[in-house]
Amino acid sequence: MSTTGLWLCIELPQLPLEALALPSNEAAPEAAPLVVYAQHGSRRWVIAGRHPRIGNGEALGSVQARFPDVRAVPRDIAAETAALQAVGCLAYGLSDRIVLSNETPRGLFDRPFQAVNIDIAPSLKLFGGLAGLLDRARSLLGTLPYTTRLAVAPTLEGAAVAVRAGLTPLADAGALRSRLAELPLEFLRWPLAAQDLLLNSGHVHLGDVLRHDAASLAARLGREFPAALARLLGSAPDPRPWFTPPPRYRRKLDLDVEIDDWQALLFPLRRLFDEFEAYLRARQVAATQLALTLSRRRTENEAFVLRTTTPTQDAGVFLRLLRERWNARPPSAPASELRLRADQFVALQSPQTQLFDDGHSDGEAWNSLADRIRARLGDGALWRPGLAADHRPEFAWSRDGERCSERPLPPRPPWLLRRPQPWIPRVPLAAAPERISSGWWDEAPIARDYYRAKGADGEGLWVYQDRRDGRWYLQGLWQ
Amino acid sequence: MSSRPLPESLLQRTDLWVGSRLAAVAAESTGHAALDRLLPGGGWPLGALSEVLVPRPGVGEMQLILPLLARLSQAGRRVAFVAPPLIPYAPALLAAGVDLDLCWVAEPASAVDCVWAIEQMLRCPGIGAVAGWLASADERVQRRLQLAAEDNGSGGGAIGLLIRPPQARRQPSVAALRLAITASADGPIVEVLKARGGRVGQTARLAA
Repeated sequence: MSTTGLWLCIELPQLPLEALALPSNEAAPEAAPLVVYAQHGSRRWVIAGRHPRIGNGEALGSVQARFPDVRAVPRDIAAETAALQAVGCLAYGLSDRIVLSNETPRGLFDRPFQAVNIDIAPSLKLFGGLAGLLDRARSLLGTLPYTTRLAVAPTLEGAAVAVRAGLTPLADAGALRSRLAELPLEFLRWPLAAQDLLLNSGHVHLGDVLRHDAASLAARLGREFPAALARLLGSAPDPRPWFTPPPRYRRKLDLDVEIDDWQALLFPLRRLFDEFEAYLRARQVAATQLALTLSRRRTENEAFVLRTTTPTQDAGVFLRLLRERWNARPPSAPASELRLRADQFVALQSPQTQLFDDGHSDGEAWNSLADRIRARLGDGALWRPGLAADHRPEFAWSRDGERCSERPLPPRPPWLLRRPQPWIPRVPLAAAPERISSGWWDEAPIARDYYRAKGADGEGLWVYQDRRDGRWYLQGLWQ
Repeated sequence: MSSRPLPESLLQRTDLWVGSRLAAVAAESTGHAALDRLLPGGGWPLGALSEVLVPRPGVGEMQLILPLLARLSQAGRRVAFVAPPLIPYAPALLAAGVDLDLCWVAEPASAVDCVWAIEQMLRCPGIGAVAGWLASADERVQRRLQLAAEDNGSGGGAIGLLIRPPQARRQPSVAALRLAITASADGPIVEVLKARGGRVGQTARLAA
């Protein structure tokens, strides 16, 4: 039985280093060596670093002896997993059949293997063949700050081996078998016990192992071994759980240093926002809200909630809102940790492009302006006057309330005072008052007689006498 | 006392402006007939800034601008109050004919934000008019707002209304129209202080 899949394996060999937001990542790797190490018990060994004379798997102690100024950072598995998932989201641009490999070191001095595996067989036609798809993959990955290595093979495990060995694309099971047979066993990342057993018994290449039949391999290496070999070579199916983006978005980024200047914060944030956009696109949803929390030494938190009226997939919208808000009110303290959170999403509506659609695009323009105004002035600073079903004048309106009324309203002044002011009547008031008694059911009952009065210059005033204590108040202006 | 009428051939020339007439300016009726007669184009100039000087809230500025806001919002264009000194009372807005769906209020905390909000709104396509309460607005600010009103993408331009204290009367103004309101027992009196392409010094009384 042979499978007809084709897998693209994207390995992230420097992920332990690149997942940490270390500023000196790129510049001058020789100046001050920077390495990330894994630890088991008291043993520490290097698993990522850019210094040309420090190899992966080297004991940290020997590195420190040779380079006294080395900066050694422990690996942050949570950060690596989050970064791997972000790449997985981006890979949705190629196919929706994605498997993440996040293999820990098999033993002391071994490296982890972290890769995004994509079943590209269903997408080949869309991208005009393998070459077109690989072009697309490289341009997608070019937007990421990660080192990547690519390989293509008919099986998931085969592609993983090919990427470690640096093989050119393997189109079919025959090519896979013949090229893999030439490879030293170390590329296969088999369990160390099995690998050592085979090496010690004179097997150097995979071809040496393939000469044996399944029964003898099972007898010596366990029942699992021939099955794994069959999956590797494509003679047995290799079902895996597909990676799906989590239903809620959480992303945390630890900064190496505290950043005071909010302009400087925008650089790491842009990366996180881009990841968020890839997440939205992978799920084919849009967001209206994104919460950003800045923390300092994990204690002082400052939260910023960015809202858009129109659901969007464009992280640039949120970045512009944030910039608008920080322009007006910068963050109050330096930040050493960034966290993004989004919980609510809406299904994406494909944009309707219409020939005569002016009103709609005006609405879009207004919505985006309203978002920017709220971002800069505060959420409560932009609203629509609305009505509320209450007879008490101060409760008959509300922010963003009802916009039309079923019952006709008596005449009301266009200006309402924020709170009624004491007022002294100078001349007797003509005309019958409008009597309003209401609110006996809650905390603010009223019993008032409302009059139209004239001010000193003849302007129209809306005044009332409180029937409970006889005092006069001014509540509105007519003009 | 009347001068000899000009020959008809001269009157028909479009490049000749006759001082006793109002220039043809694109404008939107104020909704007050007596006032419209005094204004070039017969109303608020489109794509321009107009200033209304008021000594204090409630002397007639709402009566002056509500007909405009009602008509624009009924035509599907947005209208906005920026930094109003009191609460624009929704029941009265509705009664005046304002479509509450398209009527917005912004409450900026500072003068800088206030100018920013007015400018951004004036630039937004689909906006009809923005009424902004600004205590001080130097010439630079006024030019910014004037440009924003002109630039407005949605054809014809937006109407910018700056409601300012009477002290502003002494400052130079780039506004195309400048009115001052005083209260009176028989209704607010509107004086035309400046009208590009029109005559100044005349007054109109809004119905009480």
